[in-house]
Amino acid sequence: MNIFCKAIATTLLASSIVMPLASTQASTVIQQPIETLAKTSDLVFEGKVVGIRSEAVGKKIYTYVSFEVNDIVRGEYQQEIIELRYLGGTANGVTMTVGDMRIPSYGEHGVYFVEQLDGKTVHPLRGWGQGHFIVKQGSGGQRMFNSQGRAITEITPTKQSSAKARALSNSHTAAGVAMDTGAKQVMDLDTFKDSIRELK
Amino acid sequence: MKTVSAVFAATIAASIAMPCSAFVLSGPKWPNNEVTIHYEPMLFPSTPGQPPYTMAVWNNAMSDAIDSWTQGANNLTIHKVADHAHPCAGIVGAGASVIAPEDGNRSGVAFLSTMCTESFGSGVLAINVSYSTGSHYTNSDIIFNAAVNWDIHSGPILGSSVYDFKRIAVHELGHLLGLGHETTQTAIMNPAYTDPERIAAGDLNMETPTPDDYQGINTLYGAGSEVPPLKVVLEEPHSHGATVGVGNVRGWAVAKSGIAEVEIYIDGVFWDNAPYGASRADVGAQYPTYPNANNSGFSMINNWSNYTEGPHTIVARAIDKLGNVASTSGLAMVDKFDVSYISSADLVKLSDNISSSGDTITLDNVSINGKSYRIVLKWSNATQQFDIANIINLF
Repeated sequence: MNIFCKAIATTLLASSIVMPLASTQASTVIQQPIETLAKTSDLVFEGKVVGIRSEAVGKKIYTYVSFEVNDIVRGEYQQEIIELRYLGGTANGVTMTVGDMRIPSYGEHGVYFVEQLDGKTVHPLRGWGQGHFIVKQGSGGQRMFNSQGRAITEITPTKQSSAKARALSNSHTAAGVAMDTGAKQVMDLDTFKDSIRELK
Repeated sequence: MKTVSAVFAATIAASIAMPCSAFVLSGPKWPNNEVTIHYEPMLFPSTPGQPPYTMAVWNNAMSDAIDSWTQGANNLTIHKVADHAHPCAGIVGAGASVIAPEDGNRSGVAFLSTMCTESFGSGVLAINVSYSTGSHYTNSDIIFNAAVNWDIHSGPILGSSVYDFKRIAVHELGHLLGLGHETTQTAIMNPAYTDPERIAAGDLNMETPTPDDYQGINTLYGAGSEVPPLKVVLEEPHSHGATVGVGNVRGWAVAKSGIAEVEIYIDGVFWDNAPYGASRADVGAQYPTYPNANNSGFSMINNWSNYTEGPHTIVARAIDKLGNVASTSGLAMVDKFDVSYISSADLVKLSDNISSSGDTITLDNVSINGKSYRIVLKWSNATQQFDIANIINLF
């Protein structure tokens, strides 16, 4: 984006913060409040990807992602490893792609909202990308980002969330998750998990 | 509100005069710049609009959605066939038999209650599922969640629980043709639509592709277009000289789908995301078909005096908007004085012992904060100046 475009984007963004915002969805997945995601997920856990495999079952291709479970944020899960199934992947030279599907990469550290522990859904995470958060280790500690790499600064239940928080949301991130690309006060992992645990 | 709207109008008008582009490409494309879509949806939605629509109404809406892309796709031929193609053709269902007979990779549309055999999950309106080999699509289908309350209408949206079939169809067709989600521009491929001007005018949604969407398609299917690569270059620090004091970690990165972020690692540890978007007209000239190549620079300041003397590895890791990753590494040969920060020029005293040879200048017996050093300066083409190549502590 050139400087002129940036200026436009900044103007539009700043303006959208001060005016009543009406946001509509043109996406495949409806944006949901973060508290809804938390309450309706079977399990919310912090983990690290330790294995990925894809296999073809007839015409379909599935990718199985294994996570080492570091911490349970909500729900109950007793084992050290959890495997989630994503529809799509590459097998036998053929790639099956489901639009909007972002499969975690090997070594990824994140917090994941699992829709159904025993479910066979297209995407294993509640709200697809909205239930997918990434942890990055920086010099200041472990910081939180959404699935598209945007820094997360605050978790606020949508009934209390500010206009700014709503303005910066999209269907890749649940309502109530505030983001700011230029922010230096990126939310740390422990604060993020505490916020998710406290959602009612 | 009128004042705010006027500001938006002026801003939008300016943006029309100088178009911005930020489309995102998914990766593959249709071979020979041709795609055939069997556009008549299989089956009805569970809630068939208000009043209930005939199948012809849904067919016409899908046909119109395809036409909206055809109008702006200069190098892609979209064949529209008034026929059905089941997205689950050849897929085995719960009863161990195929849901629909194999149809030879025909691309189609359907209202279904599941994604063939999988549950959609909460909040899913529609899905585009594609198959590709190498860099080309072989099949791509659009499945609408039959349980959603669909309708067909123009103008403002009807409410939070009724969805316009045609608008979603245009969006999903963008995926089918090869576009990903665009999050920085007003576009039908933007997953969250918040155009202030249209909102102010009461039109809460767009219905057709925007110039940015068309530019994406025309870039993907332009003459000689190839699947986009991702490239990142680290220009500083450079390993041929010493890295001393406060210096830059800088370079540039481009991708056909756009750069999402550039991460910097020092000695294998994530340091920070580098601010991206600095002016680089030279890169823009070299990569004219890459979006925002003119503003592809990244740069960060680092105080190398805080690091131990010796080699330190720097890795710049660029991630494009498709999640593709490319990285490059450089070496910082940290050399430093005994103090991490020289607070005053008064603490630096040169002697008369200065010599030169070729592109190298040697300053001997330089006193810095009371200690003596030999400092070797060497011309650098990268920085276009004499850089410190070596610091030798004289005891």
